[in-house]
Amino acid sequence: MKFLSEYRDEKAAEQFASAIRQKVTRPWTIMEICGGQTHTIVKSGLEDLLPKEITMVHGPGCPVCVTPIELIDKAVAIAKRSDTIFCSFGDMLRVPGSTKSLFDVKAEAGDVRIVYSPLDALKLAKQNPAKQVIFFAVGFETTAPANAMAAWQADHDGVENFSLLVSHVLVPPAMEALLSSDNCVVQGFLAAGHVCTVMGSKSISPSPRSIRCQSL
Amino acid sequence: MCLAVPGRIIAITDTGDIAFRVGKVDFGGIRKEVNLAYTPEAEVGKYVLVHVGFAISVIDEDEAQRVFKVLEEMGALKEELGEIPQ
Repeated sequence: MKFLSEYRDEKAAEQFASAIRQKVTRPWTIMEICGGQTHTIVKSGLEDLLPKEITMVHGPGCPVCVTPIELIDKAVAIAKRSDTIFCSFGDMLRVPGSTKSLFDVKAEAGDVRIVYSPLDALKLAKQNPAKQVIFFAVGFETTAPANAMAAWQADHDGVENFSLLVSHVLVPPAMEALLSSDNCVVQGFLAAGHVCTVMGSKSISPSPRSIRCQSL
Repeated sequence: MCLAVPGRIIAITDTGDIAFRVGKVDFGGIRKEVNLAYTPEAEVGKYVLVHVGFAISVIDEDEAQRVFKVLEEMGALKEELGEIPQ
């Protein structure tokens, strides 16, 4: 029951909740961009602590959720091959394709491995020259440079048995698409911190047509 | 995969090619190899924010320790660092 014991500083939480209650003078609908933010908000029950004026809307920033099912099916088909080591971030294994997940393939003795970094997959390719090593390169602006570097290093080192199955997505166009909808009720974003770290915070500033929306 | 964890650089292996510049980074006692290609300003003793095996930013010590403490309190470090091969 670790979710009940970890990070339970009731006093600090009440101080923050009270400070937010005092600030709020009108209703707000705020979208958190990242899946990680959603995860924390839901897991810690933060929505119940917020004043009723604040409505949180879950955003599109979860690579696990936005990877098309066709890509999962491709990953499953490749991972089933006997000449292949299929490498992925751990989060992707349980995502169901139209018939199976990568976890199912692993359970059926497919060589599916969880790696922390695309460079770990490249290392596996060097260690297993008789196998084709495929890395499932998913994610946003944050993982794209890492995957690109793995491809660059593979080319530089003449590694012939390393490939990427790529499904990269940009965050700002998704925000723009949401804001340009006539039915959009989002008045502010809790922005994607690591995307800002990589791209600069200006990259997700609202465009002029959505100037009434704020990013934090 | 979604987290970035701050750590302190304790050694750098520099072969002359920036793409292969690697640092040994200490995350509260756990030490890992981290690619420093995207943070050319990173030096031994400085703190970096590490995501999927790459330093994505050099940050100051106060910020590093604040973020590390929060991640530790959330119980998120074990899960994230546990995934990094030693």
